[in-house]
Amino acid sequence: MTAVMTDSLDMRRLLAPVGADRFFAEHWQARMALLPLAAEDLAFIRTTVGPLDPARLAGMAREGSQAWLANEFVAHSVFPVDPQNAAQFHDAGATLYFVNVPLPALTDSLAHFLGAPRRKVIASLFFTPAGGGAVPHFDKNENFTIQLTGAKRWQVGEAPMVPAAPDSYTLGSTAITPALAPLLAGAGRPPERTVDLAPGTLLYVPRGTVHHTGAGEPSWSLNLSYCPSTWLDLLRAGLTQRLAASPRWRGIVTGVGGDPAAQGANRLPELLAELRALLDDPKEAEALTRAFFDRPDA
Amino acid sequence: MAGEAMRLLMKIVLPAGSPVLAAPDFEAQWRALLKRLGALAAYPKEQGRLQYVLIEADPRQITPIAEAVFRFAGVKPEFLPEIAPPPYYGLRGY
Repeated sequence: MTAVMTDSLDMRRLLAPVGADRFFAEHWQARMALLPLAAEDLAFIRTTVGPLDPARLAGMAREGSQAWLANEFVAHSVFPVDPQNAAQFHDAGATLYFVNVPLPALTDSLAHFLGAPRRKVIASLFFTPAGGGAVPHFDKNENFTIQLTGAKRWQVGEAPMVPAAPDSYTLGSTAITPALAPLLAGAGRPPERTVDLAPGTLLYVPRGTVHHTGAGEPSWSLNLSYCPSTWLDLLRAGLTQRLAASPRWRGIVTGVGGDPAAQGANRLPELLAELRALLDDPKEAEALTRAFFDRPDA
Repeated sequence: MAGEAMRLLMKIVLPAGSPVLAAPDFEAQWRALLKRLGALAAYPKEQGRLQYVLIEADPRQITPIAEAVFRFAGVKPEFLPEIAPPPYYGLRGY
């Protein structure tokens, strides 16, 4: 058998067990997918991540690191972690979460595959101690989790509880964002499936899908998350940039009712006609998309 | 090896009608416990039912401190870091 050398994350190859086309048709934003990775892909990912050292990762995480501690004496508590105290929280039995560790060899490949803005795809790492885990919750991100070491049991909803959820939510919590509240009101919790993750398995969980986890042994996992840019974001950002250049669109709302003389200053009908023409022009649509992807914060 | 101490606010909620709270020597025992834990300050609220205690602790001391509170009061304390952590997930903006 010939050994295959891998020097980049080939998402098509990772998704080969279901196929990329079927992944987008049946799983993307709709239902979980569990995929075994080839040994060389796991080796490449492990090499790219580097040593699983809490202090090192705490120093790398761009959006900070957290320790979650809950045991027979401590109610669930969240602590900020830095390179100086990371090992101590590890020794204290905390779950460690390193948010946005720069791993462009992985995140850029996933962003390229998805056709998503690069900066919206981030890598985070989880260390879960034996007996640790997460309570039922759903995330606002599209998540690809790769088990690196140890084993972890997941309970994952068969479908999103809130399709295209705009925010994360922990079940039972009274902290509900205004954007999520109306969507959560009528939502039912779909049945769940048990999934055992061993090193070298990839689990895709769509945003809004309830999941909870437990680790019987110390476990490290990598999470590649797409913090979604929605079509609404794209149109809003693109149109704002495009239309704000026009004095007509910067005009103030006048003549919606009011005096008949003021009604003559109502420009909405002609602006809507202009907008229709703009949206019907494929070149303009392409320019809107390009403007969105080229934004430094996209 | 001594660890990095961090300043934490320990939140303890005693249930209404708690026998611990009703004990005649509660105040004395509570003060003795705080002294043993090296508390920097304590802020009782709602007639002592809600206690906020400022401590400095190495991460490895958190569970032993919580155990001392649990054995005295029968409730699990929650720890609130002095600096709020970043949001749970992802990028900000949009």
